[in-house]
Amino acid sequence: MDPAIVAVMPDAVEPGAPPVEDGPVPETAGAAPLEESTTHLPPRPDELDRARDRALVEEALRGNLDAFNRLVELYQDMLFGLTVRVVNDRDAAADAVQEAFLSAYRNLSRFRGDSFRSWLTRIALNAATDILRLRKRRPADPFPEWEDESWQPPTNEAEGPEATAVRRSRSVVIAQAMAQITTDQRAAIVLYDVEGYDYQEIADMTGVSLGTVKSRIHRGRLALRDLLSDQMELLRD
Amino acid sequence: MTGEPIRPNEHDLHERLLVVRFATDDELDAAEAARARGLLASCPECAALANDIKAISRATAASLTPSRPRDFRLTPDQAAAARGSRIRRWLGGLTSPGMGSLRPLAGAAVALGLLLVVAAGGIPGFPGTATTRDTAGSAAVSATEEATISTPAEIEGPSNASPAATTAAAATAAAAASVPPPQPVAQGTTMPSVATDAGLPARTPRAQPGNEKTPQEPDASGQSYGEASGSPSEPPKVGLAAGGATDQPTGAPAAARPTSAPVLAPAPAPTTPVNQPQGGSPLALFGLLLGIVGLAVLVLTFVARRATKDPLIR
Repeated sequence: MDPAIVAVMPDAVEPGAPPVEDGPVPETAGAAPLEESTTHLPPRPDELDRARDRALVEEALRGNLDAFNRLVELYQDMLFGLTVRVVNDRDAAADAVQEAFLSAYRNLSRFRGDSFRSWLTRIALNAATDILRLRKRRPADPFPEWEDESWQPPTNEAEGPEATAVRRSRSVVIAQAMAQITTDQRAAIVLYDVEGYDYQEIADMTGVSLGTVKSRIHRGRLALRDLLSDQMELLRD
Repeated sequence: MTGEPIRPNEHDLHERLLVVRFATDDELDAAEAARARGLLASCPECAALANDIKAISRATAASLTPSRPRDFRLTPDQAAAARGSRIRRWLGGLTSPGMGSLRPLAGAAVALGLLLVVAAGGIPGFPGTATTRDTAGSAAVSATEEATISTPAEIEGPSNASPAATTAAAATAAAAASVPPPQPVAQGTTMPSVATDAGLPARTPRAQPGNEKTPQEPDASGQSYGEASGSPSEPPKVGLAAGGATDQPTGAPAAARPTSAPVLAPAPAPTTPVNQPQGGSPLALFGLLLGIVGLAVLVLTFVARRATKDPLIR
């Protein structure tokens, strides 16, 4: 194992070690579970995370699949949360995330940026956009699985059942409104409000100008407000 | 009918986007910020809009998403399929960022190679190109220079054979200049009949720098070569040998004139070959090789990019 990996990530998987069992991903700065994200701007990956990612990428480039799967563990929740908000379909989002990870693995040697998270996000956004383009229409009934158990927020004893229900109701109305704005506006708002990227990072990620990103975000918010004008009482604290 | 004019909602005329930007702490200049504050203070609907935008932004950030339906870690089979064949991996390596300078280098190699080939006189060994013509022309010049150089050496001797040598060398030079490209020219021989046999007017040797220089240079005996060859005591063999116009314009066709080489004394064999080999100079060969290699690399990288292009990496 590369000493750099051990230095930045003591729990890195040793080559040849048995694969990590599917389970809750250890909480890191770059992979905070979205279900628990309650702050406006989630913690951003710092230099330590970037160094860890670069070390894992180098290890994966040497043929260590476990190192790449470690990156998958770190970012799969974040990527799924992003794509499911963009495509409004759980299965399609899962397909987009799987395609994104396969594409990232295939093109790992092309990764040059200093932020693996941004690179991966861009790939996942492209995958989600391709899926939407293939559909050529917005889903008439976004998130048909509203009553699915997968939507139930994690149990929070301190929050109480009433607050949990409010959170869930808010999420439903937000998701329904988000499904009705344009894909570009939706992606920009998710990247800014949920993932915490700044305008310039979003511009680099989506390949448009800074002004276009700002315009998409502001017009998208305005559209959301018009769509949610009857339900604003639910959204206010 | 009240007769009262219907007043448009003033809020509809307000800059809603400005309010949205102000509410989300976007970078506004001082004038814009002052205008936004004025709107919020004077228009309750603008103030409500700002509050709603903040609430929506908070709710969006805190919104729930369904849990992922499966684990996305790659299995060894998936990884092997994603890696592809060895050729694909090799081609993928060519398009990696580490090889980013490969294409500009290849392009530069092609350009440099072409430049070298052109500078060296064309593609070597390619009949009918500037290479062979220039080779013949340069051979003519070199032969003439050789004649002018070798003549003083012979002048040092007691023999007065220098005019003949000069004549033969000049004739060789002119012949080399008029040789059609595909035909090799024998060393030390003159070929004036190429032009004269066809009945065409021969080219003047005065166009050759060596021939322009030669008449002005006196030899050791105080007699210039031009004078020696054009003196009344001798027939104008130099001009004829050169296959061009003579100092004595006769107006006769060149084919009717006697050729100089068989008439004159045999010229000494030049120390260097009159004609360069038609294989071209090493510089041209190097340029050609460089261009071919650069072109091959360019083609290879193009194929690699096409073969390994991923629609999600854009």
